[in-house]
Amino acid sequence: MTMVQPSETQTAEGPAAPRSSPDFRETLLRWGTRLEQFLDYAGDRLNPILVKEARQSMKSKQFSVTFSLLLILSWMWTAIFVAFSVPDVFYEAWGTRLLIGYIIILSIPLFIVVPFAAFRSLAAETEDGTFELLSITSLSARQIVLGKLGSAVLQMMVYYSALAPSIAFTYLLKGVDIVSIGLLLLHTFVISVVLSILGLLAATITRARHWQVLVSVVLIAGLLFATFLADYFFIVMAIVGLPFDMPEFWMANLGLLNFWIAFGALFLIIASGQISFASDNRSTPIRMMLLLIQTMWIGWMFFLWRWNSEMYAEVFPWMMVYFAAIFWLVAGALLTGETAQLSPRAKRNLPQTLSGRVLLTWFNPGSASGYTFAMLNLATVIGTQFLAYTNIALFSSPQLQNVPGPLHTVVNSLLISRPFPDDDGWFWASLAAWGYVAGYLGTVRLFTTLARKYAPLNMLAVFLLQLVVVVMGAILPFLFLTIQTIGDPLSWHYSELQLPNWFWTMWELTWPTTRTTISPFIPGGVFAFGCLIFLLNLLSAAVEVEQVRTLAPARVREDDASLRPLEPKKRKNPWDEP
Amino acid sequence: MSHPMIELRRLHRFFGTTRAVNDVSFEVQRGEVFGFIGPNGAGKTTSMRILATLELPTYGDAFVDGFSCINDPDRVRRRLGFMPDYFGTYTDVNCYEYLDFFARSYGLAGRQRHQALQHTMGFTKLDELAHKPIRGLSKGMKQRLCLGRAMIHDPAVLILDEPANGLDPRARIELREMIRELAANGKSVLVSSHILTELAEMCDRVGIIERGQLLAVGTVEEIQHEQQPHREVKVRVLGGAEGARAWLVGRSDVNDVTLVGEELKFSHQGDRDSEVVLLREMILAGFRVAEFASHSQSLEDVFMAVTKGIVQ
Repeated sequence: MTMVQPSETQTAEGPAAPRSSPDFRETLLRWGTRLEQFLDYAGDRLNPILVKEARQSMKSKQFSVTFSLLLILSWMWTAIFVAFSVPDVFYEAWGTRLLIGYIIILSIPLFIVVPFAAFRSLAAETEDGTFELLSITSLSARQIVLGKLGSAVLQMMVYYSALAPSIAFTYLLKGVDIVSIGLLLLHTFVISVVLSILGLLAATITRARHWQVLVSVVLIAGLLFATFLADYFFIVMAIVGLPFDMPEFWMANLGLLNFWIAFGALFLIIASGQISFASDNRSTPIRMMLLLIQTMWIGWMFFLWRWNSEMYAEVFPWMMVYFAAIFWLVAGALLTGETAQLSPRAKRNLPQTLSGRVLLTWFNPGSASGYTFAMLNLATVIGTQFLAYTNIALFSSPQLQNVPGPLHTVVNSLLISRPFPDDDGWFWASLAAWGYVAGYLGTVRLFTTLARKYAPLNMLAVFLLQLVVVVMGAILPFLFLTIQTIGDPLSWHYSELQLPNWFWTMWELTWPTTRTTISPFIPGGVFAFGCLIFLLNLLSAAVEVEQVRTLAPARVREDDASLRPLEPKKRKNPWDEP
Repeated sequence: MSHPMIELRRLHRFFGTTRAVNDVSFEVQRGEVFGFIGPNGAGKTTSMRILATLELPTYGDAFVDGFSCINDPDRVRRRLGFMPDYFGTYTDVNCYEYLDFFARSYGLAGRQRHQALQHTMGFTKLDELAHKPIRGLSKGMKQRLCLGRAMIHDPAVLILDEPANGLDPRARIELREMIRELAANGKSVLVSSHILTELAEMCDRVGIIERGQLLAVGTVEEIQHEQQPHREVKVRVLGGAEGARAWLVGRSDVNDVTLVGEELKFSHQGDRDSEVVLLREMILAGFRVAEFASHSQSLEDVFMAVTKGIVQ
């Protein structure tokens, strides 16, 4: 930093008075230096990818063109709206219409341009060979993905700021309040972030250029569809009006945001895992996130079950199990595609204690551990449902309700005051749901484990195989029945032959009219088959469970010691050695 | 505990049925420049990419400063600078921004980053090009920029894949000097090149690889000695050449003596010291030796002798 010396300028009348006092200039310089130091300090803490992308994007044509078009479109919309709405706009609540127009204009860069730019940004790194250079720096895969996402968010902010004056203008009109504006903008932001994460995830799916082209076409189609859906949703909301006085409205918003963020985080972790080094443990963070999503799902469903009126309350336990079954079927199909081989690097962090090994082994990478993890989690969801109904049955029983004195208060405080289901359909349906997921996932896993001894099968191949088997499991028995009953339409009805047809069986087990008539042997049989397959898989999981922690090599320990020298021992009590 | 800065231990890398790297082992010590020579498709780049933690070996392991490239890639990356055989540059950034980005990516902050940038730009003579857009750089300038990127975090090990490829003679000489200077500063350098004369001048040792197999490792002389234990010697004797021929034929360490005019040619089994002894003995025997020259093979000769030109 060059210090500017205070100087005096010579004038015709003699030495001129100093322009400002030296004290003031020094103070100014001191503050300038401090500001510079602070900015340097803050800049050092920013993600390097964000810094680089910000430098690049501000110079890029794509950004300049999008920004200019956004401004031109918003000005055009303002001019057209004002021209056609005056003088009605002064008397009627037309502000919402103007706002929706801006939101739709904003949705083009936010839902299409920014996510696609995020995709291209990461894909171009691979194409230009810069990704390899990036991957050998000290940046972690997560930092790379977060940096790209940060750059997308930065672009979003610039686009928001471009439309900020126009959006502020709508507030001056009738029909729009600050909460509506804030909520709509929040939704556009969250949707844009999640779409950008999906764009980044799409860029990590493949590194082959021809596949990248296909992925980019699918992504654009998806983004256009998402934009259409989102804009449709915003228009409907604007026409119907935002029901701020309804608690359900806020709950739906909160729930949506919660799951947008949760799934956004999950996709972010998966994208990071895709570009991380092959010997890294990619699986454990994904499994932890899956568990978190499940916990949130149980929490939401439990809350809605307790909070809703008795008429609708029964829906939520059913929803909780069914969506969890679909969730774990999809997640399990991916987890069972993992290989059982643990890298020595991953083995260094395996749990050591007995309780650690019992509880945490299922977080380790591996096909069998992944299958067991999925099934135990689905069992937890069903267990929660079972516990909730047991609570009602137990604490509302006459024996416990008639206990005298303070015990009665305890019983009532523990009782979940919800109606007990009229029939046991929930029980059989849940068992069947678990049985189907365990049966289908487990059967394909056993087959792929065997097939891997002869040919390499990657995760995508296993996932596709799972998908084909699950879909065929529903279609083939149905086709068989259709062929069997040609010319005899009266015998076209559900029978035990449809046991592999999970869709039809679950349909029959769900609706009150059919679930009471279906034989318990059908869901019982599905559950028993699921249990058998689960046990067979559990036997093959022994290899993965037997893995034990290995000690890091001496050179690594030596390096760790040099990076983190032993801290001086602190005295924890008066008798400790100083 | 001392360990080599680079170590390839029984490294294998297969692509389907192609054995790109097949049981390659060698070591590079601190401050050493090691040349990796081989025809196209010999396995040089694959070995280097494994060392740079860009690929996993099928069997075996590679180590940088004692750390496994498979199990401790993050520790390896902190100690390693890799310059691939492609540029890998960004558009819409200038040289300073490019190097600044990589300095940040290697975790350099504040004064440390500024100093690293200053030093690197000075070393690679990029100071004057700092604010020039990368897309406007010549090939030589881009090579220097890429070398700057590889050394921005002051790594102990540098892996340079064909760094002199496409450079003009002046740029090559400058690059050679830079590499020697890096080695003099204690860096271990693994460098591959097709220009064998360049490598011969800058490398302490070389490894010759073909069809994924390491055929020879050592100094050029060592490999030469291994390939051809005797040296071709040419002696011009003023008068008495016939006598000298007879005297040489009588020696056990001399073979294939031929005489053309005053010039005697023969193969001598022994090293340079024994050549000095032979010369002294010839003079003591009374021969008027006007010229005594031994011909050592060039790296190109050694390369041609060792390799068979088979491409997989």
